[in-house]
Order: sequence, then C-alpha cells, then structure tokens
Amino acid sequence: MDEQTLKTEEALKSIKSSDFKILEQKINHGFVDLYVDKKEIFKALETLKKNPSLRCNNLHCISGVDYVDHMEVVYHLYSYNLGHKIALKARVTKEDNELASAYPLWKTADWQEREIFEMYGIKFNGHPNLRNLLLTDDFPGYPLRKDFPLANNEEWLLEDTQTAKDYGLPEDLSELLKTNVKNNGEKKS
Amino acid sequence: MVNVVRVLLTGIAVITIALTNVLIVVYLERKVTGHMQWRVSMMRVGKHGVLQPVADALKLMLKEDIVPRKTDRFLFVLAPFLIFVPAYLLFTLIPISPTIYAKNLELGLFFFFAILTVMPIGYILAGWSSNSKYSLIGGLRSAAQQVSYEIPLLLATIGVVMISGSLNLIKIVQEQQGTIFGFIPKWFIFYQPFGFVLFFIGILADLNRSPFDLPEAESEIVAGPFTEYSSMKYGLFLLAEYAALFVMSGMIVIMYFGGWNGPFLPPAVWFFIKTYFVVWFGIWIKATVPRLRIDQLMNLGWKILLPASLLNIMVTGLLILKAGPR
Amino acid sequence: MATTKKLQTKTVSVNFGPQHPSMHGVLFVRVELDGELVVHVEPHIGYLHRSMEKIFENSYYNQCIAISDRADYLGGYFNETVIALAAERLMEIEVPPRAEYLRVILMELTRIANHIFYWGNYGQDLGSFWTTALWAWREREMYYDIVEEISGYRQHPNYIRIGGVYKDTTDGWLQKVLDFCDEMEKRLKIYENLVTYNEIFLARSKNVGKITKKWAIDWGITGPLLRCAGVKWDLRKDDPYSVYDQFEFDIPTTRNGDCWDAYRVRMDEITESIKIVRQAVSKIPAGPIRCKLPMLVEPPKGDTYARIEGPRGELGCYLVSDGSKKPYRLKLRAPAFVNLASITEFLKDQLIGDFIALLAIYDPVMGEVDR
Repeated sequence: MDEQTLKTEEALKSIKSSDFKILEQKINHGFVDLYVDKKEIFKALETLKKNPSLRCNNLHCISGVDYVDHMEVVYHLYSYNLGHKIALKARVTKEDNELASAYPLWKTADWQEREIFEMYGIKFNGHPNLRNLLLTDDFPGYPLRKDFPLANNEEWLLEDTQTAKDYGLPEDLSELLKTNVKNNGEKKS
Repeated sequence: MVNVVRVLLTGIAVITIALTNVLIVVYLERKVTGHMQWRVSMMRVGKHGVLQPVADALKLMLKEDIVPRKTDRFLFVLAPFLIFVPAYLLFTLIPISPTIYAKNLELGLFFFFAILTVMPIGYILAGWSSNSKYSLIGGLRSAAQQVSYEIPLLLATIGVVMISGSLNLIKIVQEQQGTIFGFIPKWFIFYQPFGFVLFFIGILADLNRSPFDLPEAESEIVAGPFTEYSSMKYGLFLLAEYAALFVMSGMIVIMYFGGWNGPFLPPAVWFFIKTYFVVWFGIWIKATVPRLRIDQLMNLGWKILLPASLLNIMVTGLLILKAGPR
Repeated sequence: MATTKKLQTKTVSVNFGPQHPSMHGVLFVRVELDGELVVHVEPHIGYLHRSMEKIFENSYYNQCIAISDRADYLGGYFNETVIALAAERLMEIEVPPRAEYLRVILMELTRIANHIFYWGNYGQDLGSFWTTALWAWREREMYYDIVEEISGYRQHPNYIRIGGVYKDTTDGWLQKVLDFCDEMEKRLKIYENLVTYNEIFLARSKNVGKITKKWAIDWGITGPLLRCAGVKWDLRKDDPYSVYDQFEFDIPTTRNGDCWDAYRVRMDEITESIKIVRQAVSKIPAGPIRCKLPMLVEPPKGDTYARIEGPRGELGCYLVSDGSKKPYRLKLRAPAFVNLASITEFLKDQLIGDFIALLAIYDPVMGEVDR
C-alpha cells in the first residue's frame, strides 16, 4: 500500500460509469488490478490512455492466461508522467473468445496480440494482420491452453506408409541391430 | 620458330611470377588481417600457415562445380575469364627492373588502363547470369562503382604523364632516378601527392576493396556477384582479385614510388619491397574501416574526386609551365 | 511532345535470412526492393521458438530459472533475476543485502559485455570486416573468466535463486572485477579512437533513421532505443528495484534518435555500468547470500508483474501462481520482441545499407524474441 497505489486509486475515482464499468478493483503488489467486461475493453483502454488524471501512455505487456473454465487477457499499463501502474483484466471463454484489439491505440499491441491469438485462440477484432507469429501458419491447436499436452503431439508425427521391404531391408531387423560390442561396451581386460 | 618458343617461355615465366606473387598476397592478407584483429591467423598447414594458400587452391580445384540450372550458361562460364585474363595480362606490362620485363610498349600506361577497364564487364556478367537477386544487386553495384571511379583514376595518371613526358613505363621510372637536395628521392609522389591520393582511392574502388567493397558486402548480400560460383570458377575470381591488387600496387610503385630505384640492393628486390609495402597498406585499410553506402560512394566519386582530379591536372600544368622545360 | 507514360518497374523481393552472415541470429526479413530502396518489410520470426512458456508451466521454479537463461542467451543473469524478483514479490520475502549486491554486480557486468558485443556487431555490419567483432569477443573472454569463477558457467549461469544467489564469491573475485573495470576503461578509449570519430562510420550512422519520442512510446520501445530518442527513462532510476537506489549513476540520453545516437547511448552506458560496479564492490556487505527457503518453493496464490532494465529494454515477468510448486503461468516480456515489431515501419523507405545499420541498432537476440 505505498503512496503510488493510493494516488492511482484516487485518480481512478475520476472515471465515470459512462466510460466503462469497473467490475472489480483491488491492489496487488504495487499494481491496481481492474476487471472489466470484455465488451468494454476498448473503451476502458481508451479512457485510461486519454483521461488527464490517468494518462497511461505505456502499454508494456499484454498476456493471456488460461484458467480452465475461462481465459483472461491482462493488459499492464503504465503512465510515464504520473507513474500509475494498472493491470486491466478481461475474461473470455472458449466459445465466446473475441475481443477488441488495442492496435488503434498502441501499435505495440501488434505482435503481442498475435502471440496471444496463436497460443490461446483469442481473436482480436480490428487487428490488421492477425495470423501466427511464432508458430507455423498451419499449426493445429492452441499450445498454451491447459488441455494441450506438453509433448507427444501425435498429429505431428510423420506417417511412414512404406514397409521395410520397400526400403530394401529384411523383414526381421534383429540381425541388423546386433552390434559387435561385447560385454556391454566394457573394455576387455 | 624461335620467336614462338620465346613467346611461350615468356608467357610461362609471367604466369609463374604472377601466381607466386598472388599466393603470397593471399597469405599476407589473411595473416596481416588476423594480426590486426589480435589473433594469429593460420598456423597449421606448414610452419605458420605458409602452405595454406596452396591447400586452399587444391581444395577449390577439387570441389564440385555447380552451375545452377536457370543461369545463362555461356555468360556464367565466361564471366570469370573476363576478369581473370585482363588481370594476368597486366603482368606482362609492368617492368620489374630495367632488364626484366615481358613487353615494353611505347604506350605502356595507356594500354595498361585500357585492359583494366575490361574487368567491370566480367562483374556485370557474373551478376546477371547467376539468376539470383543477390548477384544482380551486387553486379549492378559493382558496375556503377567501378565505372564511376575509373574516371578520376585515369585523370590522376595524366599528372604523372605530364611530369614524366612519356607513356612508356620504363621511361617513367627512369625519370624518377636521382635525388632532390641530396637526400629526398625524386619520386613522383613528392611532385604529385594529391594525384597519388586520388589514384589510390580510385584503385581501391576499382578493385572492389574496402572501404568500397559494396558489391561483396558480406553482411548484406552474401557474396555479391559471386554468390552462385563454386570450385575453380570462384577460384578464378579470387586469383584475379588478388592479382589485380598486386599488379595495381606495382603500378603505383612504378608511377609514384620510383619503381626499382634504390641504393645497395638489386632493382628487382626494391621493386618487390615497395610493391609489398603498398599491398600491406591496402590490407591495413581493409581491416580497419567500414564500408561506404552506395549513394555516399557515388557522391564521393562524381562530386568530389572528379573535380579534384581535374584540378590536379590544371595545377600540375601550371607548375610545369612555371618551372620551365626540364 | 513525347508522352511520358510512367515507366513500369517491378519491385524485387529479397530474403534477408534466416541464415545470413551478419550475426543477428535466425531473423528472417522479407523485403521488397525498388532499386536500392526498401519499399516493404515483413519480418518472420519463430525460428528459435522452443515453447519456453509451456515448459515453464511444467517445471519447478529452480528449473524455470535454469531454462530462462536460454531466452536472452547473451545476458543470462537478467532473465533469472526477473523471475526471482517476481517470485520474491509474491512471497513477500526480503533478500539478504549481500545477495542483492552480488546480483547488481553481475547484472552490470553482463550489461557491459552485451553492449561491447553490440559494438562489435555494429562495426561488422557496417563492413569493417570483423575487426571490431573479434576485438569485442576478446573482451567477452575476460568477462567469461570472471563469471565462470563465481557461477561455474560461462554463458548460461543458473546462478540466481529465489531468495538470493547460489554461491558466495571466491577469494580475490572482487579484485578481479575491479581489474576488469580498469581494463575495460582503457580498452574503451582504444575502441573510441578506432571507430567513433571515423569519417566513414559517422557518414553511415549520422542522420540515418529517426526515432521520435511519440513513435517510440506508441510502439512500446524501451531501453537504449527509447533513450536515444530523448526520453530519459531507465527502470533502474524511475522504478527502482533491488538496491539500485543506493548507487549514483547517470542515464545517458540523446536527442536525435539516429544510429549514431543509439551507438552513443550504449557506449556511455558502459561507462555508467563501470561506475555502478565500482560502487557496488566497495559497498558490498558481508552476510548470508540466501534466504532460508525450501528447495521447491511454493509462492502463495496470486499474480504479479516484475520488471528490470535489461540491456535491450524492459525485461518483464508476469507470474501467476496457484500455490503449487510449479508456476501456473510465467510469461517473459522480452524487450527485443516488443522492439522488433516496429521494424515494419521503421525500416521502410531506407536504402539497403541503412537497412542493415538500422537493424543492427535494435540489437535483437533471437532467443529472447522467439523464446
């Protein structure tokens, strides 16, 4: 509860309910967490950027988190002039997964939203170029969701339809696999 | 009959001397650059890496010769020769000492630079026929650069011709015998310092060497016009480039540093000492400075060097007029 | 009387990378060239993507620290510190002061090494034929010797722990650090003589590119690139963490935002880092180097965001913990990733030579960009 968070809470009181509705507000280790409804996310970001007592001109991080029954998109905002630290959170679900993009306000949202899109499957409306960034263009699934396994993604194993005979190898490969190393590789004394 | 044999023997002698010196220059470049970068360069093949150029030549000869499919095959194969042949032909023109030379033409200087200007054609053809964007960019850059810098180069030599009064290379060296005031040798660099600077810059640009190595800019376009070449074709490029460096250094020595004139030692030894000094200076510049951008390069060539070389001619002419007949 | 029908030209599409001789790692930029002018820039990244964030969710915190070294592989200590800071903030524990000082010393030494590496690469990209690059590697050997002595590793140190650091210094290590600082100052003078006021270098860097304040803040650029545009912003002073508020140092800032300024800012930062290291070595207290914590740490439920000033910008870590021994979500906000997004706009309408120089001032480390 240092003085900066008190100042931020003071400044947040100047937000009218016509701008956007804060569902929940709490102080969290130096940041002020605000929960907003996902339909109002663009208005919320715009207000936080343009409101003269807030002036959060730095969007320095957008992250996605997958809590199993819903997903969250977290915007960390900072004000260079006034020092406010705000974390804006919006909840989406797997079925209802569209949000407004922050690109018109800050261009830095470009790649960060693309990464969230490809990892979580959350679509951002109004993004100029929403396609896969780090993964290949045809990657199946959304990796950072909790139901995506860490390894052994069987869809990516190449299928080998040729038999051993087609390669010119004998059917029984055990003869080939025998090695000449005796005694399990230990040196013969 | 004897004439044919004599011509053949001279040709073989020229090629031998040329290739030996080129191998030494290759070794020097890598070793000197290495030491300037605070590392030792080649130590394994032969003592201190002396046999490394031989090993590299063997490696290049034994590599697979790849000609990409969609290239213009005739031009692709022709381009290295258009660079190699002029570079080695120039060796026949420079005299190493008053008695060791292949051919002494009355128009030696003029013929020298006429052959030199064939080399840019090879670069353009290499860039064009490789059917690769990197090569094309490199080839065009090379063409623009070499053509624009040849003009101040040639204009700078006019100063030397005016002072020496002849285009014959041996006569130019003989004019530089003797001393002024007893101890300063009568080299043309003291008469034409400005012309020397222009000439040297022109040489660096004509040979695509740093700081003008834009066509071969490694970090930008891989190897420029030579990207698609492999095996001995690439070897020909490399040999031609270093041969041109050596022979142009020899030219600088003949025109500005007094050729083979010098006390005590035989003339041929002086010639080689001075030439290798100029070669070392070129390598020093390559290891030190970054490269110029294309528009800065063209700016320098056309807006600064060309007027400067014309100014050089005028000033030399005025001074000769004032000094009277020699 | 001749009609001037516009001459039809086509743009050439060239690939820079993913493998190329300039040493930035696997960055693939597809450019459309109109002659020598770059008309359209399209970066493709992801060649070094190792799904670190998924692996973080399946590893204990100590393992996360070891893995995160591989993100910004040139600045190992920064990644580890930011994760440790986030976890310590969640757990609300205090790190013993000796550990904090050691962290500061190592981070600043790594910053010096990083900026020297940038210097070497910058010269090499501009064409000084590996001279600067090899000299930079020689300095880094001195840095590696120091780091190897304290942490056991050269490049991926795995040294910082949640609650402190791993091992105390050996005898004479602090003296070695001071010797390194002295040597670095001497060599900086040599480097400045070679490169900084060289005519060609100036011609290639001055007035090449322009980063404006507004544009930089819009694109979320942080670090030396922001400071060269004129914004005097450094997390060590403006949002202090660890023990940085006990040191006296300056934030070098320049106004023009071109290549030359970016170079200048980074060179001056080396001098400032040397100052910080000297002050830290003289003030370092004796004491424990680690909190008493179990080996498998369990932060309480919650989420937090910690950020430090890395050599490329703001390195952040968003940590969501659910009370178990493995993080629920650990996201590394990599500065190179966020900075690199702006090259689509920044590198347009430049000549190819400038394109290379401007890409060099971003100083991207692909491990960080792709994770």
